[in-house]
Amino acid sequence: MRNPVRSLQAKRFERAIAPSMDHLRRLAIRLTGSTADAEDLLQDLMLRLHPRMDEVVALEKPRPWLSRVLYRLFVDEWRRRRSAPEIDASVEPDDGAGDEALPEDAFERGLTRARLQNALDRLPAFQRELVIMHDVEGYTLVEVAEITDTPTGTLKSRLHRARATMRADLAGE
Amino acid sequence: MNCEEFRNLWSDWHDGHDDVDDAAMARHRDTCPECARHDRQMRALLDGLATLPLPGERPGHAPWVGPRWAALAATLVIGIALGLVLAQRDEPASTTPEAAPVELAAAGEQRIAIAIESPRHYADVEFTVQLPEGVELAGFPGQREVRWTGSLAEGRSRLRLPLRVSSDARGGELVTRIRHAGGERRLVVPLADGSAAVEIDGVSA
Repeated sequence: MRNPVRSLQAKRFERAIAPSMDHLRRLAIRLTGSTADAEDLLQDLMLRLHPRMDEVVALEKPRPWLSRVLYRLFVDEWRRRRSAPEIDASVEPDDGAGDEALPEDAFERGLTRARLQNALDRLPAFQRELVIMHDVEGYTLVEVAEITDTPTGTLKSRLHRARATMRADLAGE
Repeated sequence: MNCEEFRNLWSDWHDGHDDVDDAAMARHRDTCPECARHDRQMRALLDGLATLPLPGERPGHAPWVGPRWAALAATLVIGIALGLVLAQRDEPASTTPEAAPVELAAAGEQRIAIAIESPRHYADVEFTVQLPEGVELAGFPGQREVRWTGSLAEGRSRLRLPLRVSSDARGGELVTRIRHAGGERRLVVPLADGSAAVEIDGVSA
């Protein structure tokens, strides 16, 4: 039998999460690395949220809370399933010249999307996820701290190391 | 300031944190060619990351803003409150298709996916999933029947059911039922006692 009160609450639930869906979907795709896996992750998220409908409807700002639940779900049950990063098949000639002999813009010219994505994929999981949220998707450090339950000071240190590692990786150092 | 300090503080400087001496950083960069290059490379790296396309997306193409993406998002929102999708022509309630049997994993998590075609959008659809002993839907512990209401999008939808299988599961039937203004449809998925996890995809009721 249909429960009119429950049905109304379901509609409120849909309205509450609808503005966050695009953010959640982007985050899910970044974290899992594929749209198909992101769909599965989002379906899992929704099934987990369904029993907590009243809690979701009562949220003043659902997006950070929903992002946090999505991230925890990813870490607890999805991170290990993430596909191995693709190997960058492009081969660049080695002219034997040292780094100093390269043109000034060599680093920038070599920053193809494939190389960037591969360098990102080679980072340790916690650094990769931090860079995805902060540098790729534009979450503030305070938001990332809330989502990942990590102090901002720790995030700053990790961000510094992650960026330095990527730069060195891409520069061939 | 020396080069090591400059590079250690670069991220905080770039992100505008208050505890970095902005003038000292700029002075060092302007007088040290190596750190000026480091600065350029880091900025190029961050510019590249900020414009990195989503996996599977062509550069300059943003499918998530298009109508199809909006429809998918809407379906998900719906699928949330409900969970399942069914498709059907308006046919008598007696029609009950049966899918190919699925072998249950010995114990643990198993996923079943069901694809369904819907001829049009349905509002106020009642969805029901009935489960045999020893099998439950993740998030609904101990419930042999899970029921919810919502709407159903036109076209093809996919229902993914994350199941938790206990060690005492002995098979049975997983029944999905969708009731809407035009009638009712049921799909029966036989669950066989086994040890291999199988995903059904493309089963249409």
